[in-house]
Amino acid sequence: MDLNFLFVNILNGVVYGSFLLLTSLGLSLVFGLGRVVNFAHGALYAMGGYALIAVMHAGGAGYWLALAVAPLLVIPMAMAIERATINPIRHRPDVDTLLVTFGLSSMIVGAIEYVWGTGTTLLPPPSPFTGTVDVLGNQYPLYRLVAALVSLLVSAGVFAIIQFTPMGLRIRAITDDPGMAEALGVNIKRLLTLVFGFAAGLAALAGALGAPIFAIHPEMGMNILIDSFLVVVLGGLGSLTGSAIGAFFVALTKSIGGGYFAEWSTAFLFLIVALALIVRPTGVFGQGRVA
Amino acid sequence: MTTDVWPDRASAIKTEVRTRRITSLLIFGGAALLALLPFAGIAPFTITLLTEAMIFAIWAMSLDLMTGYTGMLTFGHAAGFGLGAYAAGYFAREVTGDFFAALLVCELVVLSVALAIGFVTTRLSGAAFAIVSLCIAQVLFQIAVAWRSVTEGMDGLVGVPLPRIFGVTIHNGREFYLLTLLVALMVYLALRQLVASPFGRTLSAIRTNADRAAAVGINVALHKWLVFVIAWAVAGIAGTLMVFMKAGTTPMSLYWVESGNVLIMAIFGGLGTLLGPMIGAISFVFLRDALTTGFAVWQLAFGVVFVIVVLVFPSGLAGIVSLLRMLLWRARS
Amino acid sequence: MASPLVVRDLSKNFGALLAVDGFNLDIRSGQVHSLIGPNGAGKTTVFNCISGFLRPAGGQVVLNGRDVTAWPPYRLVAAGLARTFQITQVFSDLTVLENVALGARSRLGRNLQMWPRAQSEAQDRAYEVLDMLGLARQAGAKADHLAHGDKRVLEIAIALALQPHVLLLDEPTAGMSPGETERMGELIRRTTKHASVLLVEHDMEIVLGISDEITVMTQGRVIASGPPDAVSRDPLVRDAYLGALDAEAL
Repeated sequence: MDLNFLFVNILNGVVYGSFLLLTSLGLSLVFGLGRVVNFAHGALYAMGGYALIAVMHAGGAGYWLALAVAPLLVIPMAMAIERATINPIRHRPDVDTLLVTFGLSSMIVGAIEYVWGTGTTLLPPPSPFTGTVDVLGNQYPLYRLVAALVSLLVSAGVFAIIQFTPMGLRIRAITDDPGMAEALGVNIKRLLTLVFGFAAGLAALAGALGAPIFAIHPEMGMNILIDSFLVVVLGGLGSLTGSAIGAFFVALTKSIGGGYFAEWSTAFLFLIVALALIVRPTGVFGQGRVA
Repeated sequence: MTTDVWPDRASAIKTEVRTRRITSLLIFGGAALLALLPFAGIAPFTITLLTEAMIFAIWAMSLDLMTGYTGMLTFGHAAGFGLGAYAAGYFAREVTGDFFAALLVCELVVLSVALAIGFVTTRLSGAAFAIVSLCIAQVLFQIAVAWRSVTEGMDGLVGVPLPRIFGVTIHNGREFYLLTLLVALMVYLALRQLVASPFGRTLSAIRTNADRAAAVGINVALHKWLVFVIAWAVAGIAGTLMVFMKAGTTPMSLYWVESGNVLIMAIFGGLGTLLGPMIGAISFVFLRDALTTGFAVWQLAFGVVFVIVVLVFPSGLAGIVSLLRMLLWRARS
Repeated sequence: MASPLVVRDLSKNFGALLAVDGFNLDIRSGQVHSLIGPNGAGKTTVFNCISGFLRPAGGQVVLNGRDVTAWPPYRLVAAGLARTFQITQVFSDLTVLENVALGARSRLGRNLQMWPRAQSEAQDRAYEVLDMLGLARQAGAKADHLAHGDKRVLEIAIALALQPHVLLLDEPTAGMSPGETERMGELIRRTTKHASVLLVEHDMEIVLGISDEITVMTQGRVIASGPPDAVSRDPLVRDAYLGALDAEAL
């Protein structure tokens, strides 16, 4: 049992988990509020990565500036899409929005491929975090730890907003009881668009932040989308705490399992999710809605 | 006795029988027409496209059974298709290219997997079921990529021999086309019978209101499980035909893009009609061929069409047809 | 001769909220037994527990001598229990006849039959039920297109096609005009030839007019049970219902 190998895999799991958390939170928020399962979330993640390199190459900007700008480019685009395609059909059965976001996903990925081609772009870690750092006797890329930290901080920020601000309170109330929206005099259409945009921003940020770690290619959002689905299904759609615990569970299982069993680990992960769902169809953390 | 109770009944039955006869006539007529095409000087490439279209039609009809008739939306219908393709292809290459043998092996594999997985996943419904279905297909995709010793990974399974039926080798596109056409016709007839049966009526009830269906004594979970298994089995047939047609397959046959394709075929054609998805499949194949300026454009165009269809035509082409029919009927009265 | 339906000590909670506590009920054969109480008293919860839509926290449901507690709805139907819903839930896309035929088919045990084509026997039976309830003329219409009152009758038709021993009716007269309500009352009394009826209702006239026994609930508990005259004179009931009863009587 090579402890160092295990340890590095655990670290990788924690890093990936932070990113997964960021994307899962967005997915969970949009579902909780509008009962919309956003299939295009992965495409928005990819959009973040591509917006990043677009700003870096076209604008000649450095990484950190591009990182700040990229989500700001994706958010209005996402909001416009929401207004045009999702909002008009929000009173239709849930499956219709699922289908539309599926189509949107194809559209966005297709657009990315059209503009940037189908190749993979590698990005070096940005200065000043280009080197490795010694963690318990292992040399581990510093940037990964930094990116994970940023993800966790942003996630904590999202939690804080939801838990402690009046806006967050409104969101929680409406998530629990959609009828609340009218009672609170909230413009639900506008709130849905805003939250959708916010979630897209989180996804784009994750994509841009992760670019130096996970590489950039048009399908880059697909795997993390699937994983995010596993997370929210496991943790209960609409439950932020469930997402948090689920994200690290999924990431660590993939990482540690992946280290020893390669691609079989994903199959194993799914098995666990399936078993969990048999036992608790509403997600392991209770009041999450599943259907 | 019942004719006194229900005076309209005689005429209602007559109309039903007549409609059924007309539809059957159209179907057999259409099939005969299609069968004659290769002999009428149609280009071989078109015949190839038609073959592919018929294979997709079978696949799309199986999706219709699950999604259109029972209301179970799935984003992972490539699973049964790709799994069937690999099972049949691997068997054909390693043992024998006998079509029925390969089909049998394919079904053994697909049925076992579907029975096991279906038992678990059909307890879910709505968005959860759709998403978990996607996850299953992705898992199979991952396995196809990882299990190099059997599937040869991303390179794909190659070297599948020509199919043989009753000892006769099918060695040209025309013969294979006729085979596919025949299989498609048989699948259509079988599914049509299924949806008209009591079992099929129960599926409609489940789609309309699952809780109410339970209150009417319907074992919803059992029905959904059966439909899931049947849909996978039929998708497996399509996969078997596909692997012989292309002499192989790749993990891409399990990819989510494929699941999206079959979904758009069924939706565009019109869910819940069986014929609709068939038409959708044919349209899809020919449209895709026409738009081959590049994979990227196709993906983009596909997405746009998908979104528009869902937004504007929720019932697909068949919905437009029944809308027209209703308008005509209104105009007449 | 076992009672068609006996409920013993039923209780149900939703988290910290105890919706039903120590509920008891005994219906005699061929009777109409009404369950009344103010809104939120727990009547629908009791219904849902008996009919398999909710799992009771405690207690027993006994159908014709068999313990059917927590059985799923489809098994209860096979055992002879059918219910209607407070919010009309007919199969809107299907025709009126097809709606009832679903019930008939279920009764004939044909749900899993994959051939032959749709079965005239089920449709015959369905037509008979519709005829008995006066809906025969609308057999071919889409269920969605029926008037509200007719839809409520269709709900009962579907349940009757299941040939139950025990029929649970959840506010059958909701949203009906006085004329329709009266006809519904007659209809319910007629069904007692074939089944025992448990009825949840708010319309006091109907309740007092057709019930053989009444159980009164409030805040999850039974506060009175007995024949209509006894219950309407019970001071506890008057207390709980004071405003409601007077308002209904007017």
